[in-house]
Amino acid sequence: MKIVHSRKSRSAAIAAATALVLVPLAACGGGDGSGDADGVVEIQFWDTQATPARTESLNEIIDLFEAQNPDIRVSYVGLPSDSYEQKVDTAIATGSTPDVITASITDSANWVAQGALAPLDDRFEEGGWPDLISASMVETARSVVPDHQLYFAPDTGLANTMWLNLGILEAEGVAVPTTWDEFYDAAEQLTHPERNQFGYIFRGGAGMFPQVLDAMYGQSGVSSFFDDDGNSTLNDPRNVAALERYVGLFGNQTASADLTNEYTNMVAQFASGSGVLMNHNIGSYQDHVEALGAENVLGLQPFPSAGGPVTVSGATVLGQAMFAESEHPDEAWRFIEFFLAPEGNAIWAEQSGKIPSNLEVAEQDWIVEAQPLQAAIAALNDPATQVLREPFYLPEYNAIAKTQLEPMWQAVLQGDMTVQEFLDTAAAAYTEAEASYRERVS
Amino acid sequence: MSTVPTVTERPAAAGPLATAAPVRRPTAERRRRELRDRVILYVPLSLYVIFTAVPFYWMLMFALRPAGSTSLVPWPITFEHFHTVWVGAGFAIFFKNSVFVAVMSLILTTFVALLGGYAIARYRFRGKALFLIIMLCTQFIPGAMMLIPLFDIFRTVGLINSLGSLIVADTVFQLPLSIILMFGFIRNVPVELEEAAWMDGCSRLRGFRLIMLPLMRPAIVAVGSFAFINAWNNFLFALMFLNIQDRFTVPVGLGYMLGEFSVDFGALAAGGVVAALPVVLVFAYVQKFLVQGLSAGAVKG
Repeated sequence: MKIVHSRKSRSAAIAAATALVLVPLAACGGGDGSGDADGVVEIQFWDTQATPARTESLNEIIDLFEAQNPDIRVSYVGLPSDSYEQKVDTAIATGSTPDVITASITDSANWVAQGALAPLDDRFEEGGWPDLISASMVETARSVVPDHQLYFAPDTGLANTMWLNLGILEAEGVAVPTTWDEFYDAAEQLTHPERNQFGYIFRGGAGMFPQVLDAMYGQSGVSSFFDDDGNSTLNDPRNVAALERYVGLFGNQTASADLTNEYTNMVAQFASGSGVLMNHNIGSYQDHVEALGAENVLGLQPFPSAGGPVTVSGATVLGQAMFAESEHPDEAWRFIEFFLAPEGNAIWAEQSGKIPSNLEVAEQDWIVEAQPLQAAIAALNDPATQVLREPFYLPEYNAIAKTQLEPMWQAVLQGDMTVQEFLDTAAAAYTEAEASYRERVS
Repeated sequence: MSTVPTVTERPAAAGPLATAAPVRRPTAERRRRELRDRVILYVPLSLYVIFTAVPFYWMLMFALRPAGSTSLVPWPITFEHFHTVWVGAGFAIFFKNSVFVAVMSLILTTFVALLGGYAIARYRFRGKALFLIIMLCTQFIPGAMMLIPLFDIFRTVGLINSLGSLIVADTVFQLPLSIILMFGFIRNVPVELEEAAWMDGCSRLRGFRLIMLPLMRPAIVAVGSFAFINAWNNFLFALMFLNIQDRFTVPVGLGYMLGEFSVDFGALAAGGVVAALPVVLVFAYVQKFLVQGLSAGAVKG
């Protein structure tokens, strides 16, 4: 074997070897695919919650859009729901963001804080959308950012829902509950540990906070997260009493293993019939129908508080956002508008089992037939309903719930901490976060 | 069922004393001891098998039984979930991409590790010890920390959205450990074997090919299988360096089975079977080489 001695020829050999490796590798199919060809503009669209069903729906929408807009081609990229944040953060850091991305209010708050999203107010106004899209959803989308601008166009909404396995309720002769008292009675009557059947499914693990808020504010009737002075209402005596009653379900009308439950376990328990009642997002509607059949699934909105109104929490919105670095903002906006227009909005809302933002779509026949969606729309549109707006605009909002409250919640369920201590700690953390926020904004 | 060999069961050694010894008959105490020995052996083993096998059974059960079924036995069998992941989730494409990336990483890692390990084991050069320490230290750096610099480098050389980026990243991240493994193995092969070949007229390269390579088969299989499995399972690089749907690999596709508000357990389990099968097959084939390869550098021969 001949050995290369001179520095110059050694460098040349290294360069040649590198090229030898990289050239074939690059030929494995590079290119970002965003170039224009034959006057057709290609826009990148990232779906942050990709599942096979969602991908199919989105591809249907993309096909329709491309048929109506032959000058635009949409390149779809599906990202897994549990890891998209890292991908998007890397894209923001390296300046390689797509044109359009599906966004939630939490995402929107995070990405706006990094200066990554483009405001859509002017385009939204010019398109005449304020009259066609739910004002409540638009307001929710605006409420999570300090400058109160619209950074994502809301196309669908979500609401926390009390799910019932109607088949079991009817088999056991238990009436569908309409009040909190009836709910507790039903949970007790439906509990048969010897058959591994429990009246209620508790969320003791990750993501427990929405369920806690629903149970607490729903029973107490307290309508806002903070009082006028910026103090959290979490430890309001009415909330403390409500949560103490709710915690009493754990281990009695629920399985003890629910201590570490997150949504995957909850949905599986509900599908298997080992849990009969469950508080979970309306987004899981299609899965319940698939597992139990539409005739066995009932979705209820929160019961009225004792002598008071219905208080709804967890009402959130989802939509499409445009990155500030998009090279094709006009084409990207046309694609976003397609999700707001009746045709795209109806497909998207119906196939994903969510509440449509388009007012015309909200009155279509399929909504009337989808009982949980209709119940959610009716509750949200009822003037008497109180909507608890969670402070998603606080950067610490999710972090406090996840890192501080989740471990403490399990201590509460195991009897190592009182409900009062738990709520005092939570209220102090959120009050401090709110005070910092008000100081920054002012 | 075979019995557990115990001291009392062992046949008496051949010899005059053995033949003179009286035949020992089973006694109640002996039977108790046998039972105890069996319990000590089989109970932990059974528990271990249950812990290992139940997740696999769970996966197969959910993958093969119809959606909505609560049966603990996958009957009637359905392949609808496999159709969902293979066609609906795009596993047909992801699988091909994963195979390509894993095989290429295997080839590159093994080839470079072979050369690197040989050079470190057989040549003396300045900074060799430091080089080995630096290679060990690279194992402490998590891949996630290198994402942004790697992304920038791959974009500069035009490897973003190319499976080549995964092959390069996987190979580079696996090389330090692979080179160290190869170095340990080669060091324990007496250099005199090669010297004898050189004396017989072989060049170094020919001597390496004819003498060393056959001896290093266990190490090559061990390093190659590690490279294949690590590249097959790598999720992070595939997610980060690819922005084209048809270029993703199986681990990314597996992530599609968990929605934010819902989960399709049947499809998740079917995806798990598709993802696990190649790894299980590779392990089943190479396990005997793997043990030899890993222990080869442990004891001086």
